[in-house]
Amino acid sequence: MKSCSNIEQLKTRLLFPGTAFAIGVIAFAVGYRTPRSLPAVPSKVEQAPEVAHVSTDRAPVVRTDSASQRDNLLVEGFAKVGFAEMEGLLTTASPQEREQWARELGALPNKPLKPIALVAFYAAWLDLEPEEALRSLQNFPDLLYRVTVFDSLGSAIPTTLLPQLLEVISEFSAAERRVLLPTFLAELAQTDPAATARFIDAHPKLVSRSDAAALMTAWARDDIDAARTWIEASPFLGEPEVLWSLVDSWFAKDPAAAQNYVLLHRDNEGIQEAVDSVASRLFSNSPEQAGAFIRAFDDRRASQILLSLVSSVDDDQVANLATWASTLPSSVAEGGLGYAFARWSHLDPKQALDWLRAKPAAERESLLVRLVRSQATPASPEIVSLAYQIRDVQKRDETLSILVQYLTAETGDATEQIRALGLSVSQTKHLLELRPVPRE
Amino acid sequence: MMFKRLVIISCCALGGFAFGRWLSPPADASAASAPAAERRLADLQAAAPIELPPPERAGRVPFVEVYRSLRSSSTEERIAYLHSLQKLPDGPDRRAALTAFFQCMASIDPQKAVDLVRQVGKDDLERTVLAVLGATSAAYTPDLVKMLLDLPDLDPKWREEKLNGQMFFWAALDPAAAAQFADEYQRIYPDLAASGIVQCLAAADPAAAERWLKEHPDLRKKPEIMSDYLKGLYQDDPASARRYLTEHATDEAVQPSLKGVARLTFLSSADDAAEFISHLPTKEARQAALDGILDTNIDLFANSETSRTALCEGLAEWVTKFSPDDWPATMSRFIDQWRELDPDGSVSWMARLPSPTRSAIAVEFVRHLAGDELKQFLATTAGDFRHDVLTAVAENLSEAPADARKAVIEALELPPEDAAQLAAIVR
Repeated sequence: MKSCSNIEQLKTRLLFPGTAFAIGVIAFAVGYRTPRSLPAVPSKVEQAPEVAHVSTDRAPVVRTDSASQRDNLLVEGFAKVGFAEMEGLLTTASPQEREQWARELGALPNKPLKPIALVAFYAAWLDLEPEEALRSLQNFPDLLYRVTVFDSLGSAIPTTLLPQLLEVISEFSAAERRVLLPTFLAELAQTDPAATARFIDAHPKLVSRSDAAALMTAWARDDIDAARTWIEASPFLGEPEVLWSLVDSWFAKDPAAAQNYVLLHRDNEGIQEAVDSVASRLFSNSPEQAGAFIRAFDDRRASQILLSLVSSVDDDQVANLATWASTLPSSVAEGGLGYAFARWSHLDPKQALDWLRAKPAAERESLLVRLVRSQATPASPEIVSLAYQIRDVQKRDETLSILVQYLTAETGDATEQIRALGLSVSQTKHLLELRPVPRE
Repeated sequence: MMFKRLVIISCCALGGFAFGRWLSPPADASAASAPAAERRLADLQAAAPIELPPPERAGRVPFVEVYRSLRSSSTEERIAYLHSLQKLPDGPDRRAALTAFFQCMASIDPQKAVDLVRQVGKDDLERTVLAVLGATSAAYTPDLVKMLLDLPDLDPKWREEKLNGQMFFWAALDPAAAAQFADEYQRIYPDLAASGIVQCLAAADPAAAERWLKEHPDLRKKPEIMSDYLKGLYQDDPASARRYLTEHATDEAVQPSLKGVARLTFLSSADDAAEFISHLPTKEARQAALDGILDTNIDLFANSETSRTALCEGLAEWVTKFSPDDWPATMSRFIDQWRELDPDGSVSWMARLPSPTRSAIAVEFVRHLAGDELKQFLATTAGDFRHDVLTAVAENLSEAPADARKAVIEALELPPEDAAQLAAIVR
């Protein structure tokens, strides 16, 4: 009994501390956070990329039946998955794994999917880990595919990375640079002209005037002051193509300022193409303004501008141009007008002749003399017939002599051609007499 | 008593909990014990809505910022953001922003990106289409092709150019489907992406490529098509491509492919290339193949162990093993480029060649040398090599008028016996 009461006493004595200890242990367990109690990180199996959303018999990037998918990754599959899958793979891999994939891609057999996989892989890598991807691109894993892949990357990667990519390209072979630099520089000029200018300044031996011209085309439109400041300190200042790009792009935004610029620099070497461009654009908008612009130059330069206009204007503008040129002073118009009329006659002979015939006699005669003197007007029966209507005998014979000279120049002897003109007997005889005397 | 016990038990509970929490690893440290990469993915996947950058900064911030922001945005928010970009004044920021927006959208959901392209004005269309084409995974190429066909305001030439590019991707993934599609559009776009299709077919299934060419007999006459056909054939089985070329080396449409196949073969096995070239049936074919090899971009293969000059010498050594009759017309240009790179090395290499080869290479070498260069070069030669060079100069002069010949010989300021020798040979 005594032993029983001892046990009861012991129970009573231990019950409270035991309970307190048990509660303390439970509280400890509640307070202690095991890693398992954290939000679950998706397992590799759960991260398995879904690859079957195109109707092709493509190989997956990973074999999903494998326990360790990245170990069994088939890099060729990079060509076939979406960005989300690429992102999943790239962001869960270590830098060493990413570099290993680059090497495996480079070692793929030469098949059509290889460049596609390379582009997809590097584009996603550049998006997500640009510094690391750029380092890898410096040691591109298959040089035979370098141009192809970089060419595609240009439109696939963020424009903020173009300057760094350009630096990578600047280390390539000359043949590769020739292909890649113009495209990348032109694209960068659209989104960051100042960075493009810095690259051109820093690599004068790697760039061409075409690169500077592409920069001017973009920059003059966006910030003419910056563009001018740069070109005026640049070795490309005298390059016609570069100045043309600057002025042409500027004209689209501010015609008057562009016009003033070329007038101010009219004596500069290399400005002529820009001058021609302004004249052409002015003519399209307002022939009157074009006339005023041309007359700001001396006759020789004005004639050159007109000739350039005649050769550059679209077919549907030739008639307008010829009509307009006929209003210019003869000292400017003679050559250009003749070529314009010749081009018009070639495009629409009837319309050109009707225009000439419709002029009052005095104006028509003067015009015809100028046209024939330009040595571009065709010696057609209609033109010869009009020449016979010139009232001033001396001018008429002079004009007819020039026409006979054309015919002679074509075949060496104009006799048959004169007879084929279908003129009256007396006119035919007269023209035959105007033939140059053969040299002994 | 009871209250006292309750207080003690509460203290034990609180103390136990606090002790447990104190001993447990902090949340961050626990995460760090998981692979860092997996934590990053978890972070990405648990993306809470992220604020989009100001419109003018959209093209200036890292890709992931815009990408994650757009990914966590609703369709309405994306459309509103696009409209805010379109309101930016024309200029670099606007262009960069539009490109960034469409690259990100193409990465998030190509179909939605395609849908949004339709909301873009004509002036921005090509830029945004390019961004979508560039950033969309190749798996979605059929959707992109459809987009290109459907967009009304694209320049027809630009559209066709981009269609051809996309069709290549399609053909690489599924050549048969791409071929079928191109056939369906034959009336509108004749021979759409024919080069890419025939290359991919040949690389995947040469018999199918052969059938396709039979169905399109006109394509067999086009050198660019045959070049891509042979490229595909080579990718499937290099020996088979070489066999085809050997058998068809005289076909006009096939001959231009000799260069590429010869170069690729040479780069993988110089012995295979030698065998291939020696089996070509005509001199012209062998010349074309050797031309392709000389045209190799040696800069790609130069490194710290193998210099460009060593590569030039290796190429020259290899090509001169063939008969001089088989040397291509570009041989002299190649030698000239090597001389510019390494004047001493190239000349001493030539001097060491066996007699008939040395004579032949001297002819190639002097072909493009101007007067002063020739004079300088002659000063470095002696013995039999000098005789070869003088003979080569004489050969070059043989068709020049007598006055010009005399003037050239005088300008060389040769010792009398050399001048006499030269004059005698020319005569």
